[in-house]
Order: sequence, then structure tokens, then C-alpha cells
Amino acid sequence: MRTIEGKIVVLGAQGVGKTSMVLRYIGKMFSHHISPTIGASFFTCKLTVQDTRVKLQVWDTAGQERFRSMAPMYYRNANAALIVFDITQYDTFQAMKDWVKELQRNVLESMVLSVVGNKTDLESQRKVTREEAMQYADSIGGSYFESSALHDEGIEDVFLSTAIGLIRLSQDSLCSSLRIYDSSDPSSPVSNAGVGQLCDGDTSREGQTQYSLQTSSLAHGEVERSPVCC
Amino acid sequence: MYSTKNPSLRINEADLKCKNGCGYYGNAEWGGYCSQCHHEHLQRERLKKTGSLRGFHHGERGQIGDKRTKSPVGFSKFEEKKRQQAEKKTKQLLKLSVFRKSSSLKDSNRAEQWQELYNATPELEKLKQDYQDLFSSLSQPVCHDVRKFIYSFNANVLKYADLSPVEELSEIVQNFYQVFAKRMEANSIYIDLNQEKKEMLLDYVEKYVMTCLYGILFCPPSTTDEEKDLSIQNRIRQLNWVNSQHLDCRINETKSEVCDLVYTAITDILGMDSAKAPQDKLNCVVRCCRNIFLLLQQSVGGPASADEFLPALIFIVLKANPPRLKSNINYITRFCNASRLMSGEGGYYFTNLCCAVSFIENLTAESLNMSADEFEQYMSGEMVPPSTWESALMMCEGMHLMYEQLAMLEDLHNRYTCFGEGASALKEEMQKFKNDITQEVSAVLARTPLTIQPRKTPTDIDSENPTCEALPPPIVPQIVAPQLGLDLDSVKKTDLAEDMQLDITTASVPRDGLSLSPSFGFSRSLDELMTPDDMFATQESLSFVQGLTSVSYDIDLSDLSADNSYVEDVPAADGCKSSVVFPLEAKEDLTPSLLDTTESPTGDQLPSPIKPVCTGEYQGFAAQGWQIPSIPCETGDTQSLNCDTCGKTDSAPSQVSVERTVDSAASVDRSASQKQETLAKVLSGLMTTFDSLF
Repeated sequence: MRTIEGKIVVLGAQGVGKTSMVLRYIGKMFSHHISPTIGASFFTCKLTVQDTRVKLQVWDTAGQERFRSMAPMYYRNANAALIVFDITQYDTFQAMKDWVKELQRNVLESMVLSVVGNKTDLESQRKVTREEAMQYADSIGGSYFESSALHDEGIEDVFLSTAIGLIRLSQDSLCSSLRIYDSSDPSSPVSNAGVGQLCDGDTSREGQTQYSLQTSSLAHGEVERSPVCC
Repeated sequence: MYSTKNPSLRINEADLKCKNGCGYYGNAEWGGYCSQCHHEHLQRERLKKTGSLRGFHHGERGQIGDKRTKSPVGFSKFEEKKRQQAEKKTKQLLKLSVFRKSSSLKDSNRAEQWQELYNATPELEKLKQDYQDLFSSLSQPVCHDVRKFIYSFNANVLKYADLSPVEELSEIVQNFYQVFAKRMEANSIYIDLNQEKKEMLLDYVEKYVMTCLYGILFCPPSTTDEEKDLSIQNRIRQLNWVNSQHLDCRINETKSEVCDLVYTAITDILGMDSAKAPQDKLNCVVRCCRNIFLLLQQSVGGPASADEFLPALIFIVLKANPPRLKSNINYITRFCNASRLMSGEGGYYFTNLCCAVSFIENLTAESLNMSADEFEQYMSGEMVPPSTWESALMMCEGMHLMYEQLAMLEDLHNRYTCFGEGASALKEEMQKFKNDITQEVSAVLARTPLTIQPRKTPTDIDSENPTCEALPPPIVPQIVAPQLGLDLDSVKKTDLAEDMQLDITTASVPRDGLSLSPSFGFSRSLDELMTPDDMFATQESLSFVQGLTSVSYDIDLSDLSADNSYVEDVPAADGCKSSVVFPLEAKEDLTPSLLDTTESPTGDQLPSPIKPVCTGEYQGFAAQGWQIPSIPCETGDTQSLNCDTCGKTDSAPSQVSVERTVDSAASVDRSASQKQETLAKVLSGLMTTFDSLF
């Protein structure tokens, strides 16, 4: 049995219900899976999909516009992103597109993208049609979900499908930041994923270790990684 | 942060590109180059440097030093130190490269450094102790291997420490972590260790090595960390007016629990600087963030989300202004085991901290929702926002004090009420007690009414002698009709007593002491009291007294004793008019002696108590038979008197009857009538017998 450890970052404008979603999910998972954390901004949970155990680290982000420039720090090394918008506010849908653009620009690894239209309980005030959102999700290579944090609808699907997406990603082994263990020896990262993971650990805040990664690869000749700039 | 010139939130795409124009994105950290260009640039620089060193010995370093001296005054101290280090290093470099004495010098130098490393710290000892349990459970070869690895780790880093830029060192260190992790997987001696122990070993190696190398790796002189530290410190200082309202963070500053947590969080983040191992520093951050979540929970009333957390963290960082913030962040970034840093809670919080720092660096008016003018004014210190943290603190302090005092007041109030209750209870009790006592007293009074006993006056019979002769003979009472009976007598006698007492009171004032014979004093006083009333009263009383005296000497005794007690009272109360005399006072002991003294001076002149005059009169009474009941026999010892008379006179049946009837007039009457009746009966009986005879 394999174990995959991935980082999910939850993005979206303020007030679209990121935290409610996360809280709802935590609330459901709380009894058995969640590691004890305080607050809703960071938590880990474990899912078992078929024969693979997926450990999710969910990072909530501050949605305020003023913290927008900080977002890259959060989604650095993320393996999946939940991009949440409010179906009753077209603004949030537009803003989400910006988030995605920025995300695609800053994250080079392939990632599982999930677009989530929240607040389906306010169907009558819907401003963003399902078709439009779905079309957009397709265009960025992501999947689209609709959910209601209030009524607890569709939230589990979001996380489950993200987990499945991560498993698929791990099979490609294109995503080097994804930590993959064999069940027999869960500490040893499989093949080059470990090395990659290390390097990614290095691609750090303020980007300075990106440089060191380069020198390191030159100096020791151990790390193979396409030279990319952020 | 990607642009050096315009720290706005939205950044032009062009600003992000590499300065070389290679099309990739640049980074402020790399001087605006993309990573590859920066690397090339750096290598070129380094080549130039070594070239110039060879050429001019001091070369670029010196220039750099000169340049740096222009920096602000407050910074010069750091600069000095830094330059010294740089020069020292240059010298070493010179020695190594130019004079080619490298190996030996290097070795000795290294040895010194080793010494420094291992002598280093009590922290290492502490670390060893902390992990003692782990090592005691490990097998010998494992321990040995770990030690060997740490040694080579240190040696390797030291080898590069002076020559390589810090980024390379970081890479070396990260590789070592990696290598050690792999070694634990691959090497057979580690095979029976479980995952947990391996993790702990990894932690140990990291902590140990980093604690050893802290001095070299933390804020190395080759970096600009120190400058950045100072600049962020100044920036935060400038921003000290920012409060939680500006940041939109929901910290309830006025709540004391929240305030305490704010302080705890600030302490935690300040503690980051004193920890040595990157992991420990990271733990400080985690602790700080957990406290922030706790305080947000207090303020918000539920689990806090990232929307609330980040502003709160920014607020805490602003208020704490941690020393060497940038150096610490960079140190953690570079040397903390990346696999750890990049995942888990620590990683998340650390990312948030970096965000907070970045936000503070790039803070503008816009990001605080205020106009640029206002922001400028605040920054220049022209204006101070109404509710800064300081004022909040002050308010909090005030609130604290207020709460404390309120609590104290409450306590006092409680105690006061308690006291009041106690007092009223006591009062009631007292009232009850008073009532009880009053009742009891009145009951006692009712039971035993206070009768003011007339003061017994000294009847100094002895002193009366001179006047006595002028007085009419004592048989004046004879005039009193026998029908008055004893009651009248007693009344009269009390009158008499009162009169006498009055006399004495007035007369007693001039008297001055026991040594004087009461008789003299009394006679003198009598002379002074010459008002007619008094005189009359005295005379009257004296006449009575005379009569009494003549009747019985025993009266004198009792009176004298009373006098004695009275005399005793006098010095205590001068001119005392109290008519109440407690006749019980000191009676027994004084009576005999005073009797003697009174008798001794005047005794000769006095008539003997058993003067024939008296007996003559009594005889007269006796001659008159039982019809003289007016003799006041209550006070006097009439018994003895009677005895005397009995003894002196011939006994007669009438005498016997008198003797029998002295007690009461009634009984006398009764016995008389009985006798008459019996006489009549006898006579009638005789008459009847005579009649029957005839």
C-alpha cells in the first residue's frame, strides 16, 4: 500500500466560504482522521482511496485583497489547489480567474486544480452559470464542483476527487514535490521523488534557494532538474 | 518584493523579468536577475574578486568597506565588526592563495575552530541530555556511526565555510540531511530502528550540527542579512502606530485573557532569536502561532480561519519587532531540514511568518485602507492614530487595575456586609442582653426592693453630758398614750433616726479624723450649729437620745459602730450628704476598739449604765405593772433590761405577766382580757356553786 502526502492550498476571494468549507470538512473528519490542530487554517487528513493512502495537508489562505501578493508563498510546492468562488457573485468568479493565472505562472509542477462554486444553497441568486464555470474549469485543465458549505453538500466530493487526482499525479511521477512512500517502508521516498522533494523543499521563500539548488546540482551533480526560473 | 523600487501590491510584469532580459522572471534577492543569470553573475564576480585579490591584495573588499562606512551612524558598529571579519577573512584568503602556505595554516586554523565548536556550548550538553534516552536505547555501532557522521558533517561544512557563499553551505547542509536519511535507510546497522527513532536521530543530527555551526552559519558576514535585519527593524519601528483596526484583525485588546495571550505570543516570537537549532526556532514560531489561534478563538468565538490569522500574525510581529528577524528567517530557510520545513504545521506557520514579514516590508497606505497622505503623516510621526496599541495597552493596564480594584472593592464590600451583619448581631445580642439584664435587675429589684437604710448616726452619748443635764428627764415618753402601740413607736424612732442622721451629716464636715474622740467632735459641731431649727432638732434628738441612753446602754454600742463606719466614709467624700449608709461595712473590727476609745476619755464622767436612776424608773414602771408597754423595747435589749429589773426587784405575779407580755401589746391585752374572763368564769362558777349549795 502506498502513501501519498500532498499539499492542498485553498484559494479564493474573501467571503466566498473557503473557511466554512474547510470547517465543514474538518467537522466531518474530526472524530477519526484529523490531526489535532487549532484553527481552521491548517489541517491534515488521511483518506484511503482503493489501495492508496492519501495524506492531505490543507492550507487555508487569507483571501483579502491586500494579501494577494503573498499567495505565491502559500501555493509554493502545492500539489493541488482548490479555487473557490461564490456563485452568487460574479466578481469572485472573475477574481478566481486571476488567481488561476497567477497560480499557473508561479507553479511549474503539474497540480490538481479544482474549481469550486460555493453557496449552491443560494441558487435563486445565482450569477455564475454552471456551464460557464465548467467551461472555464475545462479550459484550465481542472474539474468543476459545486458545493454548499451551509448545507454540507458536495464538499466531500471535492476532497475525494482531489485525492484521486493526486494519486493519478503520483503515478505519472511528474510531480516531484509529492511525497510518495511505500507502505512497507513509508519513510523512504520512492525513486527520485525524494530527491525532487528535497529540492522543492529548497525552492524557498524569497526564492534564494532556487539558486542554491542550481549550484548544488552543479557542485555535486546529483540533482537532475530542469533549470527553470520562477 | 519582486521589485525594489516600487513596493506596491500589483507589480508590472516587466518589473518581474530578469535584468538580463533572458525572458525569465527575476528576483529581488538575486539583484533582479533570474536564478541562472544571478548565478553566472555571481561567479563572474567571484572570479573578478579573486583576480583583484591577487592583484591588489585588498582590492574589492576594501572598497566595499569604504562604501559601507557611508551608511547611517547607528549602523556603524555592525559595520565595524563586519568589516573586521571580512578583513580577517581576506587575510586568511591571502595567506591561503597568495603565499601558498595553505595546508599547515589551514589545519591549525581548523583545529582552532574545532576547539571553538566543541568547547562551544552548554546547549550541546543539554541536547545530549535530552537525547540520552534515545542513545541509551541504540546499539553501539549506531551511536558510533552517528558520531562519525556528525564529525564529518562539521568538518565538511567548516571546509567550505569561509569560501562558499551561504547558499552553497545551505545546499551542502541540506544534502547532508538527505545523505544521513538515506544512510539510515541503506546501512544495515540502522535496520532494526523503527521510523520514529530514525526521525529522532535525524532531528538529533540536525540540532547537534546546527548548534555547533550556529556561529558560522547564522547571519554570515558574506550575506546582507544584518542590513536587512536593521532595515526591517526600522521599518517596524516606523510602523509602530499601526493597530489592529488598521489591519482588520479581530483582536479584542481590551480583554485581559486576550492581552495575556498577545504577550505570550510576542514572547514566543522573541524567543526565536535565542534558539540555536533551526528546528527550535521553528518551534518558537509554531508556539507563537498557536497562541495567536488561541487568542483569536477568544476574540472571534470559534475556530479562526486564515483570513483572521494572517492579520493577527502581522500585528504580533509588528508589536514584537523580533530582533534579527530576517537573519532568523533566512537561517531557518537555509538550514532547517527542508522535508520538515516544507510540510506540516511548522511549514505552514513559517510560511505565514514569511508572508507577514513580506507584508510589513511592502506595506503601503492602500494595504491599510487609508489615504496616502494620512499614511505619510503617520509614518513621519506628525500624526498619531487615536487608538494605538500603546494606548490600548495603557487602557488595558487601566482596565486591569480597575478590575483588580473592583475585585478588591467587592471583597471589601463582602467583608463590610459580613462585618455589618456581625455588628447588628452583636447589637441585637447586646440589646437582648441589656433587656435580659434590665428584666433581671427589675425582677431582682421587684423581689428585693432597694430600701434606703437610714444612716445610723453616732449617738455620742458621752459628749452629751454637758447638755444632758439641762434637758428634761428622759421619762418624757411617758406622756405617750400606751394605746399607740409599738408601731407608732417604731415610726417615731425612724423619725428620730433621720433627724439624728441629718444632724450628723452637717456636723460631720468639720470633723477631721479618727484620732479625735467622736464625742469632742460632736460637741464642737453642736456648738457651731446654733440655728434655732438645728438647735431644736438637735435638742429634740438629743432629748430622745438622752432618753434612749437612759433606757439602755446597748443602743450606744450600735450607734457607735454606725458612727465608726460613717467616719470612715468621710475622707472619701468630703461634705458628703449621702444619707445612705451601709451599716454592714467594717463593723465588727472597729466596734470594740472604738468603744474603748470613746469610753476612755469620757468614761469617768459618764454615769454607769446601770445607774440607779434608770432602775429606779424601771422600778417605777414595774410598780405600775403591765400597763406600761410604751417602752421602746425593739432596739434595746429589753430582755436583759427586764432581767436586770427582775433581778433587782421582788418577783410578783404581775411581774411575770409583764415579763410575758413585753413582746407585744396585743398579747398583753389579750392575756388581760383572758384573765378577766377566767376570773369572771371562776367567780360565776363560785357563784353557781354557792347557789347550788344553797
